[in-house]
Amino acid sequence: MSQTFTFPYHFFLGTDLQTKKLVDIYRPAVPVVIAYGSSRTLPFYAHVDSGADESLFPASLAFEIGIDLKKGKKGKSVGIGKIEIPCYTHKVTLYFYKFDFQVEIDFAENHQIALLGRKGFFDLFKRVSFHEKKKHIEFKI
Amino acid sequence: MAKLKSEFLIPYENKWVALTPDNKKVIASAKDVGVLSKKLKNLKIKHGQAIMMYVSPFDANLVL
Repeated sequence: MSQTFTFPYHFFLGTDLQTKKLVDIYRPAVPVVIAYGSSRTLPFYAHVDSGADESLFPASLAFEIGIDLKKGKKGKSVGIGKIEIPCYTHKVTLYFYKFDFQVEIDFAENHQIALLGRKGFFDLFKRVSFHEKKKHIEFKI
Repeated sequence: MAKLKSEFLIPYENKWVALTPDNKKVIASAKDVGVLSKKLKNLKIKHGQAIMMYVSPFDANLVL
């Protein structure tokens, strides 16, 4: 049986490019926890990023739960500006809302923002909907 | 002018912070999430007592 649930966009601080004043910016970021074996992180906000092929997290989160980063499958991620960063894929447990999933996440050093991408996150759901006016994100599983 | 909801994050640009569960106060901060986690352990903060976030640069749009 399917289930639908929503999360409000989370607030960040940014600059209005026209007025140059600081403003609240709301982004689709949701609280998650990752675990490896019996070790797990504290909850943290991760951006729900429909433009990311896979999930990419800071390596510090991997170190935090005892992952030997460079034992993972080596790859690279390319972002806007074609900047390549090396990353290592590891299988972890992702806790989100009332669920836990076994997923593969890429971890990269010199990367700070946790991104939840299509493979290993979006593909866990029947539908992921962004509601910009209401500033919330809806998941159907 | 109305106070910004995120105004309390001004001192923490480019840092990881641990927020109280109501997202209104910063418990601790660090340049790196690993260091922040250690600080929280030292403070005996448990699951459900904090949520961590990266405070992205204020002067740039995120293009993810």
